[in-house]
Amino acid sequence: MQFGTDQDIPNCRCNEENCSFFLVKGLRFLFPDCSPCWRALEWEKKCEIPNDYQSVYGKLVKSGENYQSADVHQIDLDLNRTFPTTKLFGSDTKLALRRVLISISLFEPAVGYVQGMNFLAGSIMWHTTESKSFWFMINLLRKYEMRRNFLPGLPGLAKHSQILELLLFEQYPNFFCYLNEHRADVSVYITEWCFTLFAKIVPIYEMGMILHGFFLNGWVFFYKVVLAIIFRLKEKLLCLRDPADILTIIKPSEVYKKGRTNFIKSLSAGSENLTWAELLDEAENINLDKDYIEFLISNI
Amino acid sequence: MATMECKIVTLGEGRVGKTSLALKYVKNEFHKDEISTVNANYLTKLVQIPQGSVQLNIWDTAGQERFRAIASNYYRQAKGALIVYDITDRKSFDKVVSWIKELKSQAEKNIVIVVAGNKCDMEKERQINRPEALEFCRKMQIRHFDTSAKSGNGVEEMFMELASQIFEANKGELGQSGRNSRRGKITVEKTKHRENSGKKGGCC
Repeated sequence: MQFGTDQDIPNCRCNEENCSFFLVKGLRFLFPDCSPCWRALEWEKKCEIPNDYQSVYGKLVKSGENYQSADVHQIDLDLNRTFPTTKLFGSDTKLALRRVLISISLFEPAVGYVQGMNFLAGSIMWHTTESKSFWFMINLLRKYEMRRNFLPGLPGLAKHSQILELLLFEQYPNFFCYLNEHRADVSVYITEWCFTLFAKIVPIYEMGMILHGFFLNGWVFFYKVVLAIIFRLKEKLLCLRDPADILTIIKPSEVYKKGRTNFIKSLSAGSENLTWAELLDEAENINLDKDYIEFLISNI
Repeated sequence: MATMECKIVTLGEGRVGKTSLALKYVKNEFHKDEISTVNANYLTKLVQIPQGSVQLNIWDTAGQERFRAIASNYYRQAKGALIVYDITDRKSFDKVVSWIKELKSQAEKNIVIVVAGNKCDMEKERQINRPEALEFCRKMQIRHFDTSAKSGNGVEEMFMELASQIFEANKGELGQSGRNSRRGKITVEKTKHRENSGKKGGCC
């Protein structure tokens, strides 16, 4: 499929969230929804997207058509391994994702392609057109400084690990001491979250909320979610002999099998049925100052 | 019987089957398009070997070159390493050499390394000569296994070998925590160790 029309209708159901199920079913049958996702429209307000965004992207796609590089090789290896169990992530979407990722590697040659971007770009594409997905990704890299996470040597990762350690020290000293005692490296736990904004543990249907939080509030949102997850795991965590065992909880291997529904289950207490929306509410209530986080990010 | 707990790490180029091998072994699962790994996964399994039992904590790392910057976070304190290549991909075999070098210079001194030539169910597309791979590993004094995460061929055998080699290499340490039945022998080792450190102290 050639890139040309760029009229992909998003797969997301963001616009139907507040409608009743039957109404939606009926309406969808009569009038297929063609309106853009409200969330993606909000993201646009926060991002810098050039007026000629389509033609710039079109040119990049064209120059990437017969391009060969280590990045392209890796993208091709990963394409079938991105959301492999998601039905709607079909072959057309995969080709579009390939074009987006190759274009990013051309537009940001120092960054190229790094594993993790595939999940991030894939979840953005769920909500918007191909060309806009590309520009959202560029904004995440530049304006939201994700670029530093992906650069050779992964400098952003060291920074985020330091900030998280500081936040743990302030908000959860017991756990901070526990990690220190066992000489556990925080980066081991947060790399994947940092690189994908949780896209590997949140079902693609619910990633819109996460992306929304991040586009609107930036890294402070990220840290709030990380802390909310850690608070949830509080009791389990301190009982562990070895901090590495945390990974059996935060990286449950069932992720491979049953999609991502299991992660949030592992955070539920007793018979409670925790949802991502509820967890995000908890995250929102954590007292963390946006300016403080931004200060740390620009000064560490 | 004594239980030893140890960390092992999987290394190798992207898409050679590191995650698939670990999953096949631990969960007996196989997915044709295994979801790609970002930084690392973590799996554990308790293995029974004739000498005792070993709890393998498997850190399954991402294959992309960029993550090599943080690879040492994962193989630090590892007692064993499983280096995987894809028998249908020459480049992935070349990476094995550089991983062995890096481990020998950077990792724990007595780290046990085994090499897996994975995807041996795709014999027709083989690019790496079996004798060549065997000869290479023989020179390095490393065990080589032909494996297939798809069929399960060689997987169990390989992890068992890794577990028992690790057990042999570290049984001294096991005694120190007082859980070994052959405590007498271990105590001797312990005393020796103390003597050594004592001497060192005297010199300075």
